[in-house]
Amino acid sequence: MNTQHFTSDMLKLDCSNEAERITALIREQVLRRFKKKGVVVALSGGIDSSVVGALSVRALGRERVLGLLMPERDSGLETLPLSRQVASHLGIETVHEDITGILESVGCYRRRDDAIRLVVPEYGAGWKSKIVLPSVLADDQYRLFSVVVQDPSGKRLEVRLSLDAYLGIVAASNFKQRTRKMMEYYHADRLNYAVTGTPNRLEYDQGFFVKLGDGAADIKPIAHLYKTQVYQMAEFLQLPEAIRRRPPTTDTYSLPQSQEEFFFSVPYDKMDLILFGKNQEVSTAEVGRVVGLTAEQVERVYRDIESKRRAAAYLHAQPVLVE
Amino acid sequence: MKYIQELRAFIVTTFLFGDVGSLQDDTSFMRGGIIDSTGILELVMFLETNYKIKIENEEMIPENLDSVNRVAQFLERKLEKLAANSAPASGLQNTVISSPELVASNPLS
Repeated sequence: MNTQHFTSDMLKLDCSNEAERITALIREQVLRRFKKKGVVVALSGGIDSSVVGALSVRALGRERVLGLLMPERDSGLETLPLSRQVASHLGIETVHEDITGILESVGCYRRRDDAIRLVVPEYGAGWKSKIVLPSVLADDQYRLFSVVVQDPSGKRLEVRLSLDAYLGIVAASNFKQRTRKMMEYYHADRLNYAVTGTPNRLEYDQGFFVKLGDGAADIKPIAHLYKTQVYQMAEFLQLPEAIRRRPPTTDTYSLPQSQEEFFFSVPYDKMDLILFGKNQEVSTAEVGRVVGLTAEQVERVYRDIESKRRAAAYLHAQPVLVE
Repeated sequence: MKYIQELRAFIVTTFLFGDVGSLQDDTSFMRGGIIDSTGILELVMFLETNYKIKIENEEMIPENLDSVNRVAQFLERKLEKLAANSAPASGLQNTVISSPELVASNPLS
């Protein structure tokens, strides 16, 4: 057990040094190791992709960074404008690829809605939805997904998902991340560029990505940074305030969905410290004191972190070869 | 316990692909890496479908579902209670979160 005094300042980042370290690595890996001419960055208007874009420009120059804007039918209204704002701020070329048509062609929306109808038979045109998890803080209950649906009149209903419905909704929704990655590699191939991934440490560690969707990349420049450190870096890189103030979102479902209610259950600033505390083997009581939770609640989050890591092992795994 | 053999058979077939290995009736499913969070959903579906019971959200806790023994004991309790109440299963658990009428009629909104 680590007995070093645990404080909320432990995630304070020397942004100048770290930016230098990351940009040097980007140059080395992309230009010299991969022998690529530049990088593709999928810009969502969120903090992570914006920081990756800014670090890429810093490393390679704006002429070697292509920003891809890939909204779809369920994207938030602010997604495209914020993506454009980041690209304009960075001075990089962009390509706007609305992926709604592709998703419709492969039946993404239809398959997802069919899965929802397994538990909400009346779900149809004009309805909206998202999937949510109960909080890990409240009790020791297994956290099983429910779907929240909203009918055209605005009435909402929450229904626990059956196995088939849950798997069906996730499988269909995963088309979105995989389609985006397909577009990223198309542009990377035609330009002889590498593809960046934009997960932060929390997402990478806990498996908050789609296998061979947003989980695929040639380089992930901020996968080692805690979310709070990404925000520090965004400020250091002088990214627009609108980007820095935007709350983290999944931007995947037709109802607004926070990352907390979908996956993490705890606000990112607390989650970062809890993950850091677990990695440093700090006692649950000590971590709880700093983040304002009981030791019991921190213990639940510690167990949830372990559970997600077990699931994430499959997401991270390389193909198994028969030697 | 009454249902332990069929429960053990379900666990072995569904999650261990017929290989009992070191599974004991008190082996923790989660700590033993036998069932993940999706697997719990599969176990719940099996219990609800096979035994015509409804497992409430607050009953989905390790104390009830984390080993063959615990599942068997939980199942016996549920079925005994069901028999005593003779109440039909209520179907999927739905919660109305909000409606425009409720919001409009609320003097505080």
